[in-house]
Amino acid sequence: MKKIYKLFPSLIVLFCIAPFLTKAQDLIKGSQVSGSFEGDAQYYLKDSKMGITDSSLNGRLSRMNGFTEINYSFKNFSAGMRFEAYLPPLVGFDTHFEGYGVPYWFLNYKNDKLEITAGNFYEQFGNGMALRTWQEWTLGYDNSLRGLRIKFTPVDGITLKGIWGVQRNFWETYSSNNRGIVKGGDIDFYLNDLFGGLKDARTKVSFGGSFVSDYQNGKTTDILIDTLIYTLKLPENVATYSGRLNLNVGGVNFYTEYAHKINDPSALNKFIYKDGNGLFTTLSYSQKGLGILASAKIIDNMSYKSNRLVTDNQLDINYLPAITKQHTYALAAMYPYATQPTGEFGYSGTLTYTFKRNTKLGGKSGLTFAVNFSKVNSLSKDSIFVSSINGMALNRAGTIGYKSNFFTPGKQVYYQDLNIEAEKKFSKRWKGIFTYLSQVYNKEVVEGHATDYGLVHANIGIADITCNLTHIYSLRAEFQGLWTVQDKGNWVAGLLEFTIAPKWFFSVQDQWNYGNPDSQQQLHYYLVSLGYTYNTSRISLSYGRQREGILCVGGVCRYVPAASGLTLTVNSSF
Amino acid sequence: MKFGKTLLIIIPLVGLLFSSCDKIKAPYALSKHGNIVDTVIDWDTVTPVKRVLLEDYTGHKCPNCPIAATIAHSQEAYYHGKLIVLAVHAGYYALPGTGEFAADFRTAAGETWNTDFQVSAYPSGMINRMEFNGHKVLGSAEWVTDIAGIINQTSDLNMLIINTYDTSSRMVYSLIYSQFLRYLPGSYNITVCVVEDNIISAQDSASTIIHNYVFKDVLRGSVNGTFGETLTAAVDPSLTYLGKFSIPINGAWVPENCWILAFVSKSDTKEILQAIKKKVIML
Repeated sequence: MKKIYKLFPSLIVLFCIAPFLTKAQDLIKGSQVSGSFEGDAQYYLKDSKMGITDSSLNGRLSRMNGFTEINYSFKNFSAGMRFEAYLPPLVGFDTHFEGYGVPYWFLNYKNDKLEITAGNFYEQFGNGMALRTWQEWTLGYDNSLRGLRIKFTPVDGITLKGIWGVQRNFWETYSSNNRGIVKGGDIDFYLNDLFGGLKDARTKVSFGGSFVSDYQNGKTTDILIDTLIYTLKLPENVATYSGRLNLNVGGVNFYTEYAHKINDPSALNKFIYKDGNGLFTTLSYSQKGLGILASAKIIDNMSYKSNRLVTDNQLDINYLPAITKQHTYALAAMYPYATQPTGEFGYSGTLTYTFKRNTKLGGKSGLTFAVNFSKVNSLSKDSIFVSSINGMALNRAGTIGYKSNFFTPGKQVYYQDLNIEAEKKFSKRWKGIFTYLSQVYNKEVVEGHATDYGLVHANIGIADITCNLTHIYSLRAEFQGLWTVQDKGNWVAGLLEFTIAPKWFFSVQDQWNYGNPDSQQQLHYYLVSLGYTYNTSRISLSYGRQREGILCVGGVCRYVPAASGLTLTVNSSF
Repeated sequence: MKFGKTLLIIIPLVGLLFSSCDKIKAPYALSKHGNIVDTVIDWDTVTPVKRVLLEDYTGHKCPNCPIAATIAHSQEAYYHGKLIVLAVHAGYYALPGTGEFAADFRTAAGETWNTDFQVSAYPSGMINRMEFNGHKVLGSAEWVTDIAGIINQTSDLNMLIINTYDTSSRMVYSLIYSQFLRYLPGSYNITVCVVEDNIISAQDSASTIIHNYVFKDVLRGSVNGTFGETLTAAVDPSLTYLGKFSIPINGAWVPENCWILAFVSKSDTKEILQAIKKKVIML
């Protein structure tokens, strides 16, 4: 299959060029080529203190993840492809990525009413609870669909979408036994566009609905429950549908979406037959200097994959939006939250306020203040009576699983995060961002450990100070501390970054786990880096240690193992 | 009018999509007997327990071996399934003799283990083929202490055996599932053996010959090579490893007394991480 992939670039070029061969000059005149490139290479070193040995490195000292994406457009047509290589994949990325090829290519035609895509595509219905295909390079995540997509706008104010395809799963060639066929439709109504009289109305209303179905081969499977083998009846077609509403009045915006999935026994939900439900709602208000955002979501058995045996971050058909804040500072990001598709009840609120200049709190240049709070609990679930054991059971395979009280949170805390951030420009030269965070992290649930780690309660303080020495030279320093009596104990971290705008940066940083209960593990995770930027290209080199942890983007996470060595990153766009 | 045309497009599409929806009615699970085609293991229903393998190197002409066997089996009873005993008849004392000692309980695998692990005194044993005080081969006096030292350690992997016995062909079809509970470096082998209980034959003892000695847990042979076969060269805890074995039950063996024993060991050091055994026929 990989050999076939090699032909795709030639095919794509041929497809695009063939109709215009007689008008080669037009092709050159009106066409556009754009693209991007990234290469991440690491050379790993042994580090006995971090438990990295010859055995764990397994002789694979140099690793590389890289891609090149090229897009071509000419009038209403466009085509593109992405070449990827993992030789072998960086530590922490799924080993199934090893190899190279063209996993993504497309041909597209678009006019005012119609858009047709053949090949791979990324698509999202609503906020994704019914369908979202997306790609995140840092996570090693790509669930793109390969097939056909049609978007149709019959009249202003109505958009129809239809998709039909199979999802990417590393380099695995599609067969009816290794994944399902996903098909779906989506419709959006924009009332203000649909009815001319509402065009300039202050209130904007839109609503829509989606339907997605996944066909997986196989009507039964055998499963061992306790010591007996049972044959489970399987739904070959699993459907999810959703409805959404968006209201906007002035600075106030209200969005809500509800999704429902029919019985979908899978390895992730322990082969239970309960229908899934998801509700996501946000209410926001914004005006100059003030922003308020409140969100809530309830997820009940909403994992939806095109292979029911997969439990990792693969072949997700839908996406369950995150409501917790994604932190970027190293210690603030130590305990991120991963969405729990089997059930969770969460809410969050954010208030952002800018004190104006020349006020008591704002001073000469103003002060921006942001408070964010989020909490995610389990979903309240009641056990059910199971006749085969003549007793009550929760999540027992081959049953409905449980009864859920959809609007009732469970008692178990999965995650809680209170963070307060103040951003202040002290003078033309000095500015600072000061952050305090209080986090509660259920390590057992979020990281999926079988052993009870209990809750981690962490307090984190961060000061980020920038000094613009001249209009070219700037110096930035971060001071971070994380204090907890659980997990690996206390940490401090520091960073010093010197920038020569617009081309160079140099930084040194260290994270020190000085409070680790195991004195042998009170390690320094030092890192020195330098980078050079030329137009839209950037090259950076770093040397040092990477601590073990999990990396999350939008509630989807991957485990990052400890590593030590040299890293080279090159990226460019054109 | 345009809106009406749109509806004409939408309605058939919606109809097509809604037909792609299979609602399953209870009961969802039916109990099953017979051939197992493709079984998904719900590991949550399998309690991860570390089971230790004690190999008792013995022989029917070894006068001190019955006492060691008593120690081994009393330990096995004491630990309620957390200790598995395997009697390996090998070496000088296991040589078949004449008369009531004509039985030959030796096996190719047992003899190779005996040689490779340098078992030179009988009775001797190995506990998970681990080193204790610098030795793998241990005298029976050391067993109790050394077993106690490791028996309560947490398990590194789950194992499960499902046997289906076909009376007419005397074949046992054995499905052996293994799942690592955490990442471990290195390569691992799985060894599958047949073990027979309750064999009655003569056994030399310290003071006399026991004419109707009951031999328990006797190794009848390895199914997949002396040191088994590679289970995995790169552990992936997210996977369930499945081994399918078709094992003939020799006409001289009593199927009701036979067990399938499997253990996972490190490919290089041969240290055993987990063992499991299950009767060929569940009575």
